[in-house]
Amino acid sequence: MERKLLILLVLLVGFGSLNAQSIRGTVTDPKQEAVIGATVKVEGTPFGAVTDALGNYEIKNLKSGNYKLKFSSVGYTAVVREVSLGSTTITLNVVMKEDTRQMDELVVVGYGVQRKREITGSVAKIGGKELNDLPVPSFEAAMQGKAAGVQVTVGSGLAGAASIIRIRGISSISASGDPLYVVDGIPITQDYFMLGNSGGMNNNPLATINPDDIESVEILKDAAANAIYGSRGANGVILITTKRAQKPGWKLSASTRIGVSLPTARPRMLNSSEWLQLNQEAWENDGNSGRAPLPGGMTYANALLNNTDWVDQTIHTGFKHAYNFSASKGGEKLSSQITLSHEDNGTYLKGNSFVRTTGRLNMDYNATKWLKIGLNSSLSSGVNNRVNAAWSGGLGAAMSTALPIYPVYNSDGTWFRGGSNPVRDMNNLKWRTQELRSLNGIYLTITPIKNLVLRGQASYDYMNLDDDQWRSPEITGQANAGDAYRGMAFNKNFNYYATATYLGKLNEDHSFQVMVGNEFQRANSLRRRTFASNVPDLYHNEPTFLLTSPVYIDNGTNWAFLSYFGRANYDYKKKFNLQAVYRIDASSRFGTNYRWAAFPSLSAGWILSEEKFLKNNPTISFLKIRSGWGKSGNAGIPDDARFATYSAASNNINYNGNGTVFPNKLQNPNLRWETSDNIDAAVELGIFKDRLTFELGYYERITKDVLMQLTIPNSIGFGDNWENVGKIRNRGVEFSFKSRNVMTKDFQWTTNFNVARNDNKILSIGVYTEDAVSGGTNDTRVVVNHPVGTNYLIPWSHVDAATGRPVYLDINGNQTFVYNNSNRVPAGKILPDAIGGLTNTFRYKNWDMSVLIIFSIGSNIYESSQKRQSTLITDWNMDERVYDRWRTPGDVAKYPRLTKSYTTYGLPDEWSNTTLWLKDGSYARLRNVTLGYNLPNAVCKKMNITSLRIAAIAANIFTITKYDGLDPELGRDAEGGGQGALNNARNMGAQNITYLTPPQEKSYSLQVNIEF
Amino acid sequence: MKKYIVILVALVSLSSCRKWLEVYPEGVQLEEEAIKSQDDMVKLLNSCYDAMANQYNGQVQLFNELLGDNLEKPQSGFVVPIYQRTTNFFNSDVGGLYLELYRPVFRINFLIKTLQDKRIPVDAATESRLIAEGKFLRAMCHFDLVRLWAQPYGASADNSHLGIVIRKAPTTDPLPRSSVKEVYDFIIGDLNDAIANLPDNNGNYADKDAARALLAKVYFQMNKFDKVKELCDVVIPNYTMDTTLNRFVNALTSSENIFSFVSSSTQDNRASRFIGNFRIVNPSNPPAFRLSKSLYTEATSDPTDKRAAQYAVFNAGTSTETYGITKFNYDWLSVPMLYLTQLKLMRAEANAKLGVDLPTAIKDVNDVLERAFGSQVNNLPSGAGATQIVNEARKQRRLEFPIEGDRVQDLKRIGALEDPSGATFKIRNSPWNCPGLALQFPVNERTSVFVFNEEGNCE
Repeated sequence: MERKLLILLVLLVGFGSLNAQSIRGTVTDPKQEAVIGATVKVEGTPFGAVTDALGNYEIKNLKSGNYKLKFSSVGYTAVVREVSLGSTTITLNVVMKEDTRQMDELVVVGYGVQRKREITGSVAKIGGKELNDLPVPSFEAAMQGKAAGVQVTVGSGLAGAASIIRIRGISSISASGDPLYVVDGIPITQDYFMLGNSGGMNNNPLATINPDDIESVEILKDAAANAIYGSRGANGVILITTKRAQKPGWKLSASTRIGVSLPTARPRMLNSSEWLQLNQEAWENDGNSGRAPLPGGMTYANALLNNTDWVDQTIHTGFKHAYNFSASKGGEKLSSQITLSHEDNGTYLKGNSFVRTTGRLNMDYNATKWLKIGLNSSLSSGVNNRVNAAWSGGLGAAMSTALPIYPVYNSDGTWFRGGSNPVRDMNNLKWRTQELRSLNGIYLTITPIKNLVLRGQASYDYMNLDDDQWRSPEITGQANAGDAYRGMAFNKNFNYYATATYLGKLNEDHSFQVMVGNEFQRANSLRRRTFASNVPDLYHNEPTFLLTSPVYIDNGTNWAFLSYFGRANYDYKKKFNLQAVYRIDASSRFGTNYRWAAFPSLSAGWILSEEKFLKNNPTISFLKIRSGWGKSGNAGIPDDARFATYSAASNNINYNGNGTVFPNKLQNPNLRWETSDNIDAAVELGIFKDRLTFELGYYERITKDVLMQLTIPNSIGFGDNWENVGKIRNRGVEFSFKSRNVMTKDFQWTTNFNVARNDNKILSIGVYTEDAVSGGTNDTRVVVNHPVGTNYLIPWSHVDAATGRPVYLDINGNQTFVYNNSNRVPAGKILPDAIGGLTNTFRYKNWDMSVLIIFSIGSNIYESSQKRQSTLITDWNMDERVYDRWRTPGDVAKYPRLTKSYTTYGLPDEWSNTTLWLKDGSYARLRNVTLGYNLPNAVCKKMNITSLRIAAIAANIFTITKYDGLDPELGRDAEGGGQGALNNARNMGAQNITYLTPPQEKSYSLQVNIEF
Repeated sequence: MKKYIVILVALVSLSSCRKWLEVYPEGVQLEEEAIKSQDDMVKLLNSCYDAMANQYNGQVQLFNELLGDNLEKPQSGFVVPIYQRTTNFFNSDVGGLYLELYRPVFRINFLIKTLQDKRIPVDAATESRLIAEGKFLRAMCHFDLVRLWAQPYGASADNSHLGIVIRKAPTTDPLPRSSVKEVYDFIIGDLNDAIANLPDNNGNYADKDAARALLAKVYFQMNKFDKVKELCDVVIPNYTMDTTLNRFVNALTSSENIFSFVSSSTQDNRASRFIGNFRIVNPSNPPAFRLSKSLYTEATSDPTDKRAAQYAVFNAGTSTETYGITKFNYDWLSVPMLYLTQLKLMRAEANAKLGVDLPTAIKDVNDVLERAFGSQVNNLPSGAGATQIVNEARKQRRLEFPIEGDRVQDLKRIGALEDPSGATFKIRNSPWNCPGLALQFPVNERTSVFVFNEEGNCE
C-alpha cells in the first residue's frame, strides 16, 4: 500500500512539472442534453473554458493541486465542484439544473435551439402537455388560445376535421395560406386537398400526428424568426419537436381517456305540420288557391302520417376512447423512447369516427466523443369512417332537403325513395378513408474540432391515402352486388439538411455563433383511381377485387426545393444580441428567370435589465426590447402553374379524322416568389422576479407579388392564369402576460392571457377588379382597401311592410326591389379584428384545475345556407328563425313573405347573396375545463409508481355570441376545381362561412395518466 | 481516420446539384413535348376547327335565335335572360360561349407567332396555308363575337360604337374593346389574307371559296352590297343547287357545300346542341327548345311549300300549343356553315339593292323557290322589281335557314339599313338597337380598361 502511494507521488510530481494533465468532462442538464456555452472557471486562477455544442470542456495546463471549479450558464443554476488534480487527466461530468425563470427556457428556432432571452424574433412556444390534455380532432386544434396572434379555427364537428390556422393574419390568396409545418426538421407533406372537397370535408394531413408524441410546438411568427425557413415562412412556421428520452434509466407512462361527444348546438328544424303550413302560406302568397302541391307528388294524407326528426336520425352521443403508452430509457451511450397510441374518436354524427393508431421510436446514440447519431421514426394509421355532411348529406340533409313529411321507411319496410333520405344514404354508403404515414429521419452530429459542430439529417415522409367507398344496389339502382371505388394517393417527400455551427468567443464579453447550411427537398405524389361494379363491399374488405379493377392514372405532383442558408448570432455580455440570417431558395415551381430568391433578415435584442441602471432593480427582473426586419416567401402553388400544359385530343375525338393538340392553360415563365417584407418590434418585461411577465409586440408585413390564380379576361382565350399581382398588408399588435398570482406551498394560481389585433388589407390588385378572385362559392372577393376574404354582397335594406317583398339597396344607397349583382359592395369580413385566450390554472394540494376561455372579436359570419332555411319555400326544410317573417300588410318582419317563386324577391335565380345572411361572428367560448387529481407521492411510492393522475375534461362547454346560427367557430370545406381554386376557397372563403356546416363537438372525458 | 471519412461524407452531402430542380409536373404534357414539329403545328390548327365545331354545334346559332323571333321563351336556366334580352355579367352560359369563341383565337395567334418566330421548322407552303386557315377561323370567331356582343354594324353613322376585344397576338394583357369599325376592318383584313393564301381545294378544311363566302357574309352584314356581289359572282359559278331541302343531312357531300364542320359518328357529333335542343324524340312531347308561333305560321302558311313538312305542332289547339322542327331528328350531323343557297339569296338582295343585273337576282331567288315548291308556280316574275326581289329574298332567308342563327342578324342588318334611329323597326317587339340585344360580357372581362354593355332596356 505504501509502495503504491509512493509511486503515485513520484508520478504526480514528475508529470506535474510537465503540466500535461487537464480536467475535462461534459456539462449536461437533467435531461442529458448538452449545456452549450457554459462557462467553467477555475476559481482563483485565470484558467477556464467554455463548453462546446456537445457540452464538452477541457481545461489544460493546470498544475496538480486542489481546485474549485465554478460552472455557470444563463438559464442554469451555477454549480461549484472541488477537485484534486493529480498527474493524470481527470474527468468531471456535471449536471446543471435549469433555472426555472421563464425567460430562460430553451426554444427550438429551426436548425438549432436558442434561449428565450437570446431570441431576437417572435417565437411562441407551447408545451406538449398543453396540447395533449384536450380531446381534439387533430393536435393543431389544441393550440387554440395559447399563443398570441395565432388564430385557430376548428373547422367543424367532423371526425379528424382540420383547423384553419392564421398566424398574424393571412398574406396569400391563391398560394397556400397555411403555415409551414416542420416535424423534427422535416417539412412535412401538408396537402389539404388530396381528396378535393368530397362529402363536405377536406382531408386533414395533420390528423395522423399523435399529440402524445409532441414535446413542444414552436410557432415562428416574424421574419427574424422564420427567415431561416424564408422560402416558405410567409404565413408562419410551426415547428414540432417530438419527445426523446430525458432522464437516465427507465421511464414508463401510460394514459387512457374515455369520453362522449355532443354537438355544441342543435339545429331547430320544423316539424311536418309546421312545414306544411308554411308551404301552404307560400302557395297562397303567390296567388294560388287550394292545397299547395307537395314535393315528389306526395299526398297530404301521406305527408301528415310522417313527422321525421331528421336531426335525431343523423346524430347521437358519440363515444371516444384513447390509449397511450410510452417507454423511455436514457443512458450514457444510448437513449431511446417508444410511444404507442390508439385513439378512437367518435363524433356526435352517426357512423363518423377517426381511429388513429401510431407508433414512434426516437433514439440517440453517442458513438464516440465526437460522433452522435440518432433516429426519429413514426408509423401511423388514421382511419376516417366518413359520413356525408354539409351540402353533401347526413346532418346537412337533415338541415335542408330532408323534409319532415318524408319517412325513413315506407309502410312496407322498404326505404323511402321519394325525396331526400339521409338515413337511407348513410346505410347504403360505406366510406372509409385510411391514411398510412411514416415520418423518418436519421441524423448525425460530428464535432471534428472544438466548438465546431456538423449536423446532417436525412428524412423521408411517406403518406399513402386510400379513399374507399362502396355504394349498395339501393343507391346505384343496378341489379348487382354494389359499386366500389378507391381513390389512392402516394406521397413521397424526401429531404435532407446539413449544417455546420461554430461557437466562438473573442473574450468574456463577446461571443458569437455562426451556422451555415444547405437543404434539399424533393416530393412526388401519384394519384390513382379504380372502380368497379358488382363488388359486394369496400375494396378494403374485398381486396381480391382490386386485382381485376382497371386503374386510372390521375395527375400527381413533383417538386423540389434547394436552399442555402446561414445564421450569425452575436452576443455582447449576455445583454445584447444581434442576429443576421440569409437564406437563398430555389423552387422547381418557378422558371429559371425567377427561380432563386433571397430571404435576408436582421434583428437585435437588448436586455436592459442586465444594464447597471436596472440590474438590481427590486421591481424589474427582466426587460428586453427587440426589433427585426426580414423577408419571407411563399411558393405554395401547383407544380404546373408556370407551364402551358397540352392535351392531345378532347375525349379522344380528333377532328376530321386527324389528330389535335392544344394548350389547356397559359404559361407564365415570369411567375415568381410571393415575398413579404416584415418589421417587428417588441418589449418583454418581467417584474417581481418574473412573477409577472409581459410581452407587447408590433408588426407589419407587406406582401408583394401575391400569387393569384386570376380569372382573366376571357378574350385572352383562357378562363384563368397564374400571375403575381398586387399587395397585401398585415399589421397588428400582440399582447400577452403570464402571472403567477398565488404561489404558496398548497395553493398556486397562474394566469396566462394573450390578445392580438390584426389589420389585414389588400393594397392593390393591379388592373383587376373585385371578381378577379373569388372565395369559392362563398361570395367573398378581392377588394382593394379591404381584407382578404371580404364578403361582397348586395345590401339588404328591409322587408317592405306593405308587400312583404325584400328591399335592397343599389350602388348609390337607394332602395330598390331589384336584385342586381352590379350593386354588390364590400359588406363584411371573415377575419376577426382581435383574437385571444385566457388560461387560469389552479393547484391546491393534489388537485389542479385549468380553465381556458378563447375569444374572437369583429369578424362576420356569412350563413350562406340560411337563405333557404328562412325564406323562399323550396324543397328544403326551414328552421325556427322563419317565424319572424312578413305575413300580412303592415307587418314589420325580419324575413320577407314566403313564396315559391324567386321572382317575388326580384331575383334572377334562387341563389341570392345579401347582407341579410351576414352576421356578427364575435364570440367568447369556454373552451376547456380540466379538473385533475394527483395521487400523493407517499401513496405512489407504496404502489411502486412515480405518479398517477385522474382528470375530468370538458370541452366547448358554452359560448357567448350574438350569432343566431349554430356555432360561431366554423370553417367549411374549400370548394373548387384545381389547387389554386381550392386555395382561394380555403384562404378567403372557408373560415366563417357556413353552408350547413356541422357544428363543433362538445365533449366530456375522463383521463387517467400513470407513470412508473 | 474514421473521423475524416465521416466528415468527408458530410461535406459531400453539402454540395448539391442544380439539376435537382429540373423536376416537372406529374402526368401533364408540356409545350416542349407537345409542339415540336410541323405535324404538331398542323394538329394545333386542327384543334381550332375541333374547338369551333364544338361551339357551332348549335350553341352559337341558339344564342342568335334566342335574341330573335324564331323561338319561344325557354323553360328555365341561363338561356331565359338571353331570350328576355336581360343578360348580366354572371350569366355563365353567355360567358361560356364568349370564352369558347376566344379559345381558338388564342391558339391561332400562338400558331402564327410560333411560325413567324421560326421556332419550329415548317415548309413554306404549309406555313402559308396554316396562317391562311388560321386567319379564316380567327375572322369567323371575331365575326360572331362582334355580332352577338355588340350593337350591329351601322348602329352608329361611323361605327365608332364599341365592338369587342380584337385579339391578334397570343398575349395575356387585358385589352379594351375596339370600335365596331375596327373589328370589321380586322375581320376583312384576315379574310383577304386568307383568300390570297388559301388553296383552291382543301378537303374539309377552309379553302379560297370558303374565305370568299365568309367575306361576302361579312359585307352583307355591313350592307356593302357591291362587295357582296363581287364575291358572290366569283364563288357561285363553282357550285350547283342541291335538291335536298335539309342541308344538314348531306352537308359534306352536297353540291352546295363550301364549308362545313365535320362529324363522323354519334361519338363525333358536331351538331350535338342542335340535336339535343331541337330533336323531336317523341311526337307528342315538345323538345327542350320550341319554335315561335311567328316562325311556324310563316313557314307553314303555304302547304305546297315542301319545307312546311319540316315543322311539327304539339298540343295543337290548346293553350300550351308549341312548335318544333324535324331537321335535326338524326343521331349525328355535320354542320353546313357556308353554302350556295346563302350566297344566292345574298347576291339577289345585293343586286336588287344596287339595281343591277336584276335577271340574275330573280334567277337566284327562283332557284330557291323552285326547289321549295317543286315547280315554278311561285317563282318571281321575270319583270319583278327590286323591292319585290329584296322582300322575297329576305323571306326566303328565314324559311331556308331556320334555327341556323341568321334571322336576328338579318333583322339587325335591315334595321341599321332602313331605320337607323331605331324608331320603327322592331325585333320581337323591341327596337333593333335596344341595349339588351347585345349580350353582356362575362364578369371575368372586368378590368379598369374595359367598358361593359348597357343591360336590358328592351321590351
